[in-house]
Amino acid sequence: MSGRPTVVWSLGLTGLLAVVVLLSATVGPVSIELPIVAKATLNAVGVPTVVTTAPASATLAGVSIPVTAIDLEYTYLFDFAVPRTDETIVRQIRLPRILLGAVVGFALASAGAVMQGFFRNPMADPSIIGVSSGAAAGAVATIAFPLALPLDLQAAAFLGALVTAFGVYVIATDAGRTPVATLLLAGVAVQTFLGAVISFMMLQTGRSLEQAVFWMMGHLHNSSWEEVEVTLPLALLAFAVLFTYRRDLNVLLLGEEDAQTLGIDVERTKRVLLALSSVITAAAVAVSGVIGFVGLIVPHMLRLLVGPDHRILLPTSALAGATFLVATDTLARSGPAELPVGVVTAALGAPFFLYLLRNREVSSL
Amino acid sequence: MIDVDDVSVVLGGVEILNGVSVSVSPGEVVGLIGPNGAGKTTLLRTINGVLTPDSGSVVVDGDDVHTLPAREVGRRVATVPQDTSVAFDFPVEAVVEMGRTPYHQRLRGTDDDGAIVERALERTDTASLRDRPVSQLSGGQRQRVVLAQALAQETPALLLDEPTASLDIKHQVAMFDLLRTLVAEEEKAILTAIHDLDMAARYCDRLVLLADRTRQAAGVPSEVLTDDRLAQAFDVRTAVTTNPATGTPSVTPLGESQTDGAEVESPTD
Repeated sequence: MSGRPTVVWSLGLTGLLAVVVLLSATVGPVSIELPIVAKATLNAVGVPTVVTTAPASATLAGVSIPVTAIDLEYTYLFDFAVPRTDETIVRQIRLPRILLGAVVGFALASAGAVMQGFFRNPMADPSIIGVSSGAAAGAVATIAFPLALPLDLQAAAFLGALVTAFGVYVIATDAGRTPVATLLLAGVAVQTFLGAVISFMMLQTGRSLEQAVFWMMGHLHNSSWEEVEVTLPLALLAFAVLFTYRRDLNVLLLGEEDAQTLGIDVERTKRVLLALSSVITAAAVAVSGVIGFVGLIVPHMLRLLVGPDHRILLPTSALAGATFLVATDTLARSGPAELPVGVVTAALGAPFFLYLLRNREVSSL
Repeated sequence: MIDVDDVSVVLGGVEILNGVSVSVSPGEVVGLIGPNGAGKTTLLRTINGVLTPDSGSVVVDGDDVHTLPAREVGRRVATVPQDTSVAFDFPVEAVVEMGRTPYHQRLRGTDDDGAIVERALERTDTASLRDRPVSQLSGGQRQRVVLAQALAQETPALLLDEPTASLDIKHQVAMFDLLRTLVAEEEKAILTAIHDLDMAARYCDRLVLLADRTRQAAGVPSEVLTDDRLAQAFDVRTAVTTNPATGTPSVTPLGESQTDGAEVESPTD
């Protein structure tokens, strides 16, 4: 029934994302014309042809994610003539950052759409069960005590996020049931506690304080292709599985009891949704720090446009999230001094959210 | 079809049901009557698998529902809850289509969904509402939409909790006529909690009277609806007469009974 609008919206938003990506790549200290950007971008389009599996501990120390263990060699499809410096700027500096922004926005917005449906609460976003606080605690720990932890910052952030989400889940679960209200309150309490831990650790950071603060604000600075290669497959995989739960998310909006009488194993479904949202958020936060409001605002905007049906809401939110973050990060880096993108998303997102609130749109999930 | 055997339920340390047995055969409508707080809703929630009884068993179509996966229970028992309020904006058709959930594969729907949803919309007189957001419907319209959803579930057993509570008289009659049609044509086993004793007497094959956590009586309406039983269960004096239009028992409440279970005078004598 909602098959065709979903395809139309998704294709439209994919087109918009492509346009925003290209326009974003023209912006920077050196302005590069759009046709050159387009050619350089096409030159970067490759298909993986040789796949070799490397030992599992390759990229993220301590975390054995299967995707990191795969080594890809690409065959590039195009070979347009482009000035060498322009190609280097577009391909090595701007595209990794833009694509990482797209992946992070994609991940945060899809997790946000799922969390809002899951909690039947329009204020829910991916950080509500402590994922972001956990990531921040892990990241700041590696900055404050660089010698004490055998992990690099991103691995620590990823692990911190997952451990926190799992901890909140365990705290909120009693006799196999996880009431969402308990989960929400446990999430708030754990976030507060981790906030104290983070503040304490930041006092110990000394000269690295600036680095910790910068990370906490959310940024896409110094993004690399390696980060894209790790986060993109993880985000796509988690999203693909989340997408198979689109009908279940709709039915959960009726309330858990009705969902159960309609044949949904509610507790199991909640566990799966929580785990996937946590993983997809953790992957994003680990590479970008805490970028607020994307996961909250974007699903709301899309709900206004396409309605509450997750069959269409989920893919459109993800694509719009990618577009939104690429656009805001372009703003963040185009000023005279670069801003952390989290500052821009919050500065744009909060007033917009208030506007929605005044128009009562957020009250109708 | 539905066999509730000696079920006791304790919620939060309070016993709600004590050794209740009820059975509903295919092709009959059984009415669940009793005062507020007698445990009618709890009994329905135990039959559909939402609550697990502390003792006793609920067998539907040959299997204990509390050992079956939710999906399988959803193919056997459909429920129309009392509170049908919804806080979101799905169109009616999408809400009815959710009744097909127990048949959905994770990756795709089933092919005959469209026809089944269409039939459920028509039977409940909601086809004209199909594109309306469900949050904009009246209580009565919403109740019919939720019934349509339950019909789309295509279960042999159907549970309803006060299905006529927010319906006008036309739709009350239509609701029960539809329930009669469902038992006649599809041999469904229907158990419905109902406050309106006259409607219960008129449309149900049998009645089960719940009060004080236990089953007080069960049988055809004329056996269950007696002044003594009603006085004991509801703590109210009543006059049970025969409705001249329908020929079924009619209950007129007269006033609070003086002492619990005391002999009450019946003006019909």
